[in-house]
Amino acid sequence: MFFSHPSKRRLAAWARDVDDSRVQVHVEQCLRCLAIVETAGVGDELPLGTVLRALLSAPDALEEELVERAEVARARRASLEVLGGLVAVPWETLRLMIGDEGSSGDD
Amino acid sequence: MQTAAATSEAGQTPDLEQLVRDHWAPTYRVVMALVRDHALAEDITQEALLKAWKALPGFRGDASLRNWVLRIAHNTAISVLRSRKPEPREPWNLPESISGRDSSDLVIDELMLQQFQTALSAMPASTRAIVVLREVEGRSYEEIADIVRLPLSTVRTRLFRARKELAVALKGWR
Repeated sequence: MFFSHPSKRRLAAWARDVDDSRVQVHVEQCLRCLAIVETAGVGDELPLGTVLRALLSAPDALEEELVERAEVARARRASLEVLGGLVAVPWETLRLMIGDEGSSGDD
Repeated sequence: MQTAAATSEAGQTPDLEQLVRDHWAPTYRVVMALVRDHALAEDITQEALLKAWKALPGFRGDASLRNWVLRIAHNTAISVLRSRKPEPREPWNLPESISGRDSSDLVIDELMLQQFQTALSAMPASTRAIVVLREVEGRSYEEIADIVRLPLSTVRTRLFRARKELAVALKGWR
């Protein structure tokens, strides 16, 4: 760790290519020096976005598949909610019959 | 065409199909960057979009709808990764071979792509998500910090370090 900030030249060298662990540790903790190396434009000339987009691209048919699957999942959840409601009816009835309506039983 | 956001703001039942159509692609890319497995990314994307649709009536609009959906997707994928700890180290499971795929003027060389994948795989999952949110989805540092729930300074330093490492992997590209 530096007691003061690394020189701009040293920061620029690290940003370009030079392996300098002391600078790296410093930059990770110092926003002032990070701002300086960010202006070095590391990787700006490289097609990072294009390569990432190609790597992470989905099959063309996925959009329709997801629409279909989401609708099926929604319908299934809706059915389960209805089923859950039906199962709850006898339970609620029983609860009413035995008078368990939240009375504390103190009296 | 009425968007999901517009539908939600109008207080009507939001349209699930429209939400999926508007947001599936960026959601899939961020999830895929996190989990590196196409089949799993598909499942998580579906789950995240369904979660977002169910939570949409509570969406307050203090972030953009896109960022809000991406945050839900990020959280869902991170939960899945945590349940599978340690993260599998196998190579990326891609939907199909993408070597030689022409994207704009760039023909992607298979070797370069392998180096790129290796460099990306060596990064923490959350850093991969940060890189994609910035380089592909064009989110600002502040938006990324909000989506991944990390301090702004952490986002900036991780992104800078990642760009540096990926630049090495792409060194031979010209």
